[in-house]
Amino acid sequence: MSDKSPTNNEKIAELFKNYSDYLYNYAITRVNDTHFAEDLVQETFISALKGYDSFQSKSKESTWLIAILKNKIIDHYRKKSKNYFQQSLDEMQIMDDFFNSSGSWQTDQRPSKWDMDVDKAIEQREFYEILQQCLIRLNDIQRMVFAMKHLDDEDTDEICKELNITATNYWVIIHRAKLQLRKCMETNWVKL
Amino acid sequence: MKKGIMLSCEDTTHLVVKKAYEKLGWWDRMRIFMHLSMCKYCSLFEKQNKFIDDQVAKLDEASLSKLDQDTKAKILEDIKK
Repeated sequence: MSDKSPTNNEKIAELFKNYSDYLYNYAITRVNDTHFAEDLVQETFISALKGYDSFQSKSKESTWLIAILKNKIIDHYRKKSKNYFQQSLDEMQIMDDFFNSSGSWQTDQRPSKWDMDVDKAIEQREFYEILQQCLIRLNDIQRMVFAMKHLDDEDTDEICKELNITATNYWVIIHRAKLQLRKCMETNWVKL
Repeated sequence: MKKGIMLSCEDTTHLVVKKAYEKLGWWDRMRIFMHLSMCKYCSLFEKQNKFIDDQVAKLDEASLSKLDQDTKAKILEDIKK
């Protein structure tokens, strides 16, 4: 990159200092693989360096970097296989056993009562660590849809388009993800 | 999903999840209400689901995972190549 002016390099180094942890945290919540998350952060900054001249500070720096990173994550899932999300969806439906054939809770899956006082009853950090672990443990399609909806705050239509899934499947994915998350929190966080 | 007024727990939780994002029609709201008034498990699910939603929204800001210093140094070197 000898043609790059040192100022761009310096600016990227500054951005790296400020946002690398933020981007890494964003990636790990979505891909469930530490090495891959590191690679994604690296690739994001390489793209940012290449595109720095066209970035006109129209948006916040962090928003711009996250947009680059997010595209890389979606590309990754798309490249794996054209039907990757469909497979992930099938796998998800085979795996779960929350309800019996008549649609009632299975005896061992019924929700228990929680003490939901995060502020006082438990240390906040521990709570969020467990929540992040539970999110990471969802399968790829659930994690991605859930993160796009809850963390990126995207429209349902937009998510369906980006991931190439139908609206019906979207609701199945979200429903199942919520059941899994709740179960995971009950098992790992709630002291019964 | 069944057409009648009595929903199963599976259908109820599905609608409860959907309700957090979209306004449902009166019929679905009625059916949820009917089921929740009789089913303590689905009522707990609704409450806990709401709680998790509220907390998850804070997750990116909590920024729990960090890169270690060596990895950072290595990545920064590679970027500049």
